[in-house]
Amino acid sequence: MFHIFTLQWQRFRRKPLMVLAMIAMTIVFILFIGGANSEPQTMIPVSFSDDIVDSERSGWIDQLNELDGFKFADTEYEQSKERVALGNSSFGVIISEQHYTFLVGTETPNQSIVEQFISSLYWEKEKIDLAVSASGDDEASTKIEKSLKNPPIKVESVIGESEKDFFIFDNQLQALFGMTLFFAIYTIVFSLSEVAEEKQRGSWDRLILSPVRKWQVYLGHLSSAFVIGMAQMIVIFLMFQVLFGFDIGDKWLEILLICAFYTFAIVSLGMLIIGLVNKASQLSAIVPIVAVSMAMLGGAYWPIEIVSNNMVIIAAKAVPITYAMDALKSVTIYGNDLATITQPLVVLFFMGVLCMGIGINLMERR
Amino acid sequence: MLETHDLRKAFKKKVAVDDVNLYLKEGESVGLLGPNGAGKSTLISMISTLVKPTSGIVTWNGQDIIKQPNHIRPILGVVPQEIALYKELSAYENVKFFGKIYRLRGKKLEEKIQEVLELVGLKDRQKEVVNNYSGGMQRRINLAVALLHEPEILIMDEPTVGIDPQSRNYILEMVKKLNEEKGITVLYTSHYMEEVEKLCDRIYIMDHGKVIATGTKDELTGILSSEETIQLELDQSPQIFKKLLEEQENVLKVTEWEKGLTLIVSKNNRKLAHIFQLAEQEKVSIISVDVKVPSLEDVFLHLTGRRLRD
Repeated sequence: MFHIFTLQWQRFRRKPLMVLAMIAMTIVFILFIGGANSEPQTMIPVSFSDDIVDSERSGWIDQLNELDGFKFADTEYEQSKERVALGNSSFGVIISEQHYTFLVGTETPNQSIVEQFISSLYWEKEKIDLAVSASGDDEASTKIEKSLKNPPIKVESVIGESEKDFFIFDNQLQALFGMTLFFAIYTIVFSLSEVAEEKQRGSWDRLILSPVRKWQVYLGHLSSAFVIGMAQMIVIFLMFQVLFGFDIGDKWLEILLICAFYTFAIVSLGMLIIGLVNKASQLSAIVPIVAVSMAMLGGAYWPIEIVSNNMVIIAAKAVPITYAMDALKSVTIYGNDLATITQPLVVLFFMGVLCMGIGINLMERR
Repeated sequence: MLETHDLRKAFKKKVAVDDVNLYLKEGESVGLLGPNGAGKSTLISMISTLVKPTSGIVTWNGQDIIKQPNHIRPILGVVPQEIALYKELSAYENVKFFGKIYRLRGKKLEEKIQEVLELVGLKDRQKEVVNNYSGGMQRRINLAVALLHEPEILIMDEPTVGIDPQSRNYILEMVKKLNEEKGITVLYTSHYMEEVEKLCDRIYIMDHGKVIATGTKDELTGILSSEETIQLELDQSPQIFKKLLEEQENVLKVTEWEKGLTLIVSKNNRKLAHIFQLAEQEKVSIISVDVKVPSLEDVFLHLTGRRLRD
């Protein structure tokens, strides 16, 4: 097995282009979708209409910045427009006395989160204005503000206890995890296609006739594809944390485990695909279809949390990316530990065992 | 002795090998001759223990090697029809990898690598990547890999397909030498009758999955001892002339070739003059006439009505 494993590495050193191309593609797509800046929060330019006096502006900005995960910055209207037009911010906000306006470059899930928050601020302001006008007291406004700062009863509201109850969207990590898992499918399955090619050109028969056992031949190929897939993912995660300042956190053991279980599932899925196709050349047509469909269903392109279609949600349950994305976000965004991600890891493992069993069976029958 | 008994392989409804019985004695060189699709490759895959037969058995010195393939695998050298090498690696790296797989190590491995590379005449170019080799050189490395572990039986599946005559000759000479000098038993499949004629002591002719004739070259050509082959080169399409010849009593078989017709006629009843007379009558010009001693090609033609490379 060791000699077959080292042979694959020897061959990889001679032809590293495919893996390097996949790493490059992953980097480009993450930078394009997630943004390369080291700013962890999404910057949203805020402009004010003339009916808002300068002294009120900072108050608005402070209130807006109470929303976690976003950074609102006071920006001149022309600059806001330019920023949105150039794609530096996906949208901006114009605050007026009676209404607010969105400057939209690209529609993102963030927009609805921000809109809900701004809407709640306007409702609150409206209620205070109504109370002031009903009281007829000129100083009512100051008194309400004072009371709000020191309320007689403090109500602490908790939205939820886990990511299932509330949803934090981090564009950078979404892009990093989604694209890394997506492109790893190509690298792993194309590395495995060597098995199909070996069978076609007859070198597989040579190995079978040799003293090496058949399971060792399979293991040599599978472990090589596994290591290449794992290495690609880890290199990208490290690169984006160190060079681009993405906040992956420090739970590297959990991240390594998730990558390992996901890679195992994809290696197995690769064996199943190779078992189904007749020729190695057919893989180049089938792999993109499988990879793109899985990425779309599994939340690699957009967060699965914003999907409301029940059919899609059910279909996503059959896709390894769903579980890997879920586990990665659970560990990095919500700070959960190993115990919390046990379920997705177990599902990935069983998916792997099932696909591997069927895949090898199909290959042996041919 | 290696033997097959009523060996059969069917893929769904198609029977690729149909109850084949053959044997190979130690040190013998045996040829399997037949056109593409005759079932030669499937047969040798079963003999090599790579494909399980639908029915029948293969024995090596009386032991069933279908049930226990490890009885024969260590002494088997297989040269597949494809270039079963890693083309991005050098010849040396390829041979070394397969040497390690056969558990050769250290000095012994290095010696064997150089020995087989010398044998196939590529010692000087061993560091070159296989992909840069000519087809003939790739075939020679394909053979070298099969010889690394000093096999007692060498099974070769059309090892000269698609290569230049010079490389083809080199491979044939080498296999002959291995058989004669080292006593390696050879099972050689081909659809080139001249290769089989040159190399093999005994020949099995296969068609449509069946062995249709067997024997030494002389025994096989003896099938046509009472007949001879006349090859006519004509100046025009021979359709009407062919029909006319087929109706003649002394003409046993008429087949077309690119420039004319091949006739199998009774030796004692040649009547060449009559053929010329018919040609004149039909206004067909005979450019040349070649009366030949029967070859294996003629035997195959006689047995199947087709040429080997049809």
